[in-house]
Amino acid sequence: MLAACGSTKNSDGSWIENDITTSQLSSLQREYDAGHRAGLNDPIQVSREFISSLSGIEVDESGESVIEEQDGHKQLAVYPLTNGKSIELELAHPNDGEEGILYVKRYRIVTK
Amino acid sequence: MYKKLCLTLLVVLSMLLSGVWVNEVQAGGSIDFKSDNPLYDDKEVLNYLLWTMDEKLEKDVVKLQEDLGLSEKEMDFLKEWGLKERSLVMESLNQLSPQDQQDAATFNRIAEDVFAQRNLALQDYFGERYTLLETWISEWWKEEVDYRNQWLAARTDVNADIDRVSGVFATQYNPNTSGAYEVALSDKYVKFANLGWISNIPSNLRTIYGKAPYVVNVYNPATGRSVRSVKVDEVGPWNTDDNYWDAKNGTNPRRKFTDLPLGTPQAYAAYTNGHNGGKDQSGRKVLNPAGIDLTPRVATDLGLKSLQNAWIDVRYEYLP
Repeated sequence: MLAACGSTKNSDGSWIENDITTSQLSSLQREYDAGHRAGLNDPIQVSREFISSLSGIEVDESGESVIEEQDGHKQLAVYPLTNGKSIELELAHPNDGEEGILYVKRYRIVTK
Repeated sequence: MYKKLCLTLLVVLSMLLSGVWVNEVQAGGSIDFKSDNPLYDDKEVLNYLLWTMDEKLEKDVVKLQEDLGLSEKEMDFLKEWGLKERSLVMESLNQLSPQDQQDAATFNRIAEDVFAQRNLALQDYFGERYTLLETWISEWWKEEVDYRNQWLAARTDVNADIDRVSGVFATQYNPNTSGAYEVALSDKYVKFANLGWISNIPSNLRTIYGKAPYVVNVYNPATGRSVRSVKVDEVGPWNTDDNYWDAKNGTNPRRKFTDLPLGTPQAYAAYTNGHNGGKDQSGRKVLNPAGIDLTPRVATDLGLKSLQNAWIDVRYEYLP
């Protein structure tokens, strides 16, 4: 369900929107509210599950990831990749809300 | 029509003044009535009683029907509310504005509202006999908590990290990958290790969590069925840092809730004994006592039906 609905083909640094639907987000929120999948509000778990769903890229486990707060209750996660590039993920709450589960709103692959 | 209007007004009033209402009941003579009766303590009590595969609880359900002389139709009504206890909280949250719907305080208020709504529905349906149901539930709850605490204590060796907990409340969840054969436990680093997310495990814990894959064996005493070597690929229920199978002074010390006995999931303690104000590590009210979550495929292999809970045995010996 957290899987990307895009791909890594746009590797020129432009943002790729994740077209996860409102219905899918509501379903995830329901799971979370019933006590299940408690990592759905954790930026690390949401980022990593999303990256795992993308084909052709792999996180460099010897590198360091960064997660920083942004305006509008968003967060930016940056993970180094084994191909020498990095992936940036913009995390948001459903409907641009303030709390609750997180999801990857958009992402891009950039040269370090 | 008039009756429906009155009921609606009552629901709205209870939503606004639920705390006051409960306090009035307490003031009416019952000492600490709220904590004595799970109907007034924001718990999935009907779901727990009526939707759990457990020998003792199944006998309790038979006793409930006999003691109160309830018909099959009336039992079905209670079972239906057992499912609604869980689903209505989620549906109510979905009706709120995005800004309001996802914080812990709102979640807790919605839970209060839903359980007040349930109680009003029970009052309306059972009429004068509601008092009998209320009293039965209150007495059963005291007996159940005492029984369950003793039952669990008798099964736990508190002196060392444990290989096995006999008596973990299991619920069911929908996994990230549909059809996945996995379980969830409330230690995020087990999931991280299993999925190879090593860089997100703190460096001081990487050796401890360095022998993935981590699996559990699960046994359902009610059916005699078991599953072996099931990967722990998800986190929950409720908490993410409650490695309750580890002693606080063990090789991998329990990270949170070290005041709890070894082998006791915090969610269980919150649900039955009001630990941490009845809330999980994120501040949400714990609505059920689950210490493990099963995907539907694992649950089916253990002989459980859709949405059915169970008290099961789990072997944790392969975990950090």
